[in-house]
Amino acid sequence: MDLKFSKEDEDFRMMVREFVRAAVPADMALRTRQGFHSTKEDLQTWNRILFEKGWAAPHWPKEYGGTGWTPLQIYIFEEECAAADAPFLSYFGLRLLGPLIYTFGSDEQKAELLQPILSGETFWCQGFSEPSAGSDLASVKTTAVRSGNEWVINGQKIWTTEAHFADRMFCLARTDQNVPPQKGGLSIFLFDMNTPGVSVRPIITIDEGHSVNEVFLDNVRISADAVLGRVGDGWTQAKFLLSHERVSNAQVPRSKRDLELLKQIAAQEMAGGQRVIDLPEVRQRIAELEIDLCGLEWSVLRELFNGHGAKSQPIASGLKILGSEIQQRLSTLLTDIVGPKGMVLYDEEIRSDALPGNAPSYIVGSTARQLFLRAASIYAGANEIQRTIIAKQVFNLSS
Amino acid sequence: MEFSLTDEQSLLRDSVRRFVAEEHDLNRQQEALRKGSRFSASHWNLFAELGWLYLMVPEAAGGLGGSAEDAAVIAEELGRGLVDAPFLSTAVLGAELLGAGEPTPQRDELLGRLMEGRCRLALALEESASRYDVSAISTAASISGNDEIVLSGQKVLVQDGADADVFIVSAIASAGDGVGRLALYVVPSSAAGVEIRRYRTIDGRWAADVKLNDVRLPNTALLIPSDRAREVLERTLDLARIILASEALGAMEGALAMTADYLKGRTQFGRALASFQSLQHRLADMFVKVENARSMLYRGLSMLNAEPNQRAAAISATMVTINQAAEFVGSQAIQLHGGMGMAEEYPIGHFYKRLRVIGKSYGDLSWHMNRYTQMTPTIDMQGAA
Repeated sequence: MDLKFSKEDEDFRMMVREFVRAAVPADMALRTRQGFHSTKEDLQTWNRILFEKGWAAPHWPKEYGGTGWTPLQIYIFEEECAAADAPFLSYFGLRLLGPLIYTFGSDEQKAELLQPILSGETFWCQGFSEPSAGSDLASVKTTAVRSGNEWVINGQKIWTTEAHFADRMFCLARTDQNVPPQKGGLSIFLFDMNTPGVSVRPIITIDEGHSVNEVFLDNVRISADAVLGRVGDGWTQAKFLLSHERVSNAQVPRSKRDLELLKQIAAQEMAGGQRVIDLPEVRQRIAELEIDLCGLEWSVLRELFNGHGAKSQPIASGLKILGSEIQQRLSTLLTDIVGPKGMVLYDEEIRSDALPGNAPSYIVGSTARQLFLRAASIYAGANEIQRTIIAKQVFNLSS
Repeated sequence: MEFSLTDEQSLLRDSVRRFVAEEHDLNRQQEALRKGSRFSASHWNLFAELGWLYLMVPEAAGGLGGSAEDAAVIAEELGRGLVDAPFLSTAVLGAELLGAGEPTPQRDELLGRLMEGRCRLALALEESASRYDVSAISTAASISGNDEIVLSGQKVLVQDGADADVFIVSAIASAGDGVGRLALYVVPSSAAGVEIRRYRTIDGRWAADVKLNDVRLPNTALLIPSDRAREVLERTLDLARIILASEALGAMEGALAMTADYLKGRTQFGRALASFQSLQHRLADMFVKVENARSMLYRGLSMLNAEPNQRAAAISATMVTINQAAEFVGSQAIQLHGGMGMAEEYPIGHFYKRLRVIGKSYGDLSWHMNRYTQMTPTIDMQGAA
């Protein structure tokens, strides 16, 4: 056992910090702190800055544009980005599709698709969830039927994040109705969002924000080679995504930054002539969160160093459960710390100097984020699904 | 960073596991405990033979100068097997505090007996009003005319105190300036004026109240003088807490494994209990808490040598996590066993009882939460939003 960060790791952190802090534009940092859904412009700008530095996808293999950093260095990099209020780069291309392409894609797909993801030139959205297939991906109903030199896709996708500004979609569809989805009946297709037959309708979430959409696929005709890897590999590819992003769902870097901001706000808020941060009940809630976040961070470190051994997959589920709960508790505590002002949305529209409730500017975004984060325990595999995964894999139980 | 055990630590773990598997019969231990018997002398001799009592003794005094990680490895396996050995009191607290004392012949002789398994120690800190605050005590040490130390006071809830040959006692030493300061003394349980009331704690172990009626001791009884007793004691207690955390972790994993087996084996409504999703999800929640607790154990271990305030905050953060996890895992292990969980002759409830005692040893949840908030500065205002 050696439970210390090395000198090299600390030097690396300083090197990253120096670059990142100078590179994030101030207005972008403010928007990230407020926690609204990132705009395409901010995502593109930050992606471009990191791309030019060679740091857009540190977690990719070096041959495809990664940095060759160790898992701990990648984690340190993400921590420094969050601490500098850099936006979290668009997930779907860099985190999901990129790894799918370099793992399952053809040589042509690797050559053609990876570079534009890396540079931020092409934004992707993930067409997996459907009205009757949320956590249960095997129930996907969208079909892809071969017609001559084309595939014809019909169906409906829902909760599609960033579909309203994505350039392309990777879309899960049934390719063989006679074969169970798990046994080769599913495939992933890649196509432009401006292909005839694709239409996007916004879904406004309870934070009154727009990040997710319905996507209707009505006789969408795409070329025969627009399938990712091999026809019938969709289930394997979808499962690969579940195991690939083991630690990022824990969202530790962002939560650490949120906790720091929360403490700063609690030190400025007053209640009955006292600083809110000095109220014993608030101190206790902050302490509990801080302690739980420490535990989560060390679980992530253990995972990065394979300190969980064979339990890695269920651990990922545990990290997702704890990470989402901590995000929810943090955002809820913040809206409690601001007292009665927490009853106002303070959304993106209200950015003037005179906020309702005579509120200070740091409050903008807090209520909306608290509301939106109710989704954290639902998306990326609902927490109940994660518990079932743990029961199955740790205790060898099935339902 | 490296989380896996070294080869030596793996061997150590295997030897404790072998002891638990071959020598330790949980059911027999429970029965023996009900009859009021104690951890057996032959098993304690085995601890000595296997070198576990040498582990934390400084090399200069003939020990192995082992690390906290090594002791944690042993404690975890003892916890998993629910072994009621006074390992912490003697081999960790005793060895550490004696090791921190002046290297006098008396101390070395005592350490020698400790390593051979011929001397059990117990740390007598707690008094009826101190509640884990090591300085809130009234036991007094004074110097008599003929250079003897005279101790008087009443210590309570001395863990493993019923069978201790030697107590390490905290007392307020009156100094020339009239200001009293904490110091630590070595007191044989056989010394004249030592009055011991022995009783069982809920985990079946044996504690004691120790009354010191003008106990007169030679001046070599002073183990750690007041200029550094407080600092040594705080550091050693933080080590002890982490070792207890490791024992608790082993106990939680033991209880969790036993519970999963029980759910697989028991049939109700025509199906295995383990097939009910609500019970599966409870097991999953227990697993998540246990793994999180292990991460915090490692964090605590990594902070044992940090500067005192940081160390205190980190150890308390670990103990908050351990205590919360222990209560959840221990009580849910009983819940998932249904009525069987309530049976004294079934082991699962004993995991819970041991975890309850660990949760009240050298600090409890509220004490650790308070210490954590006191030791973490409210906020660094630089870069405020």
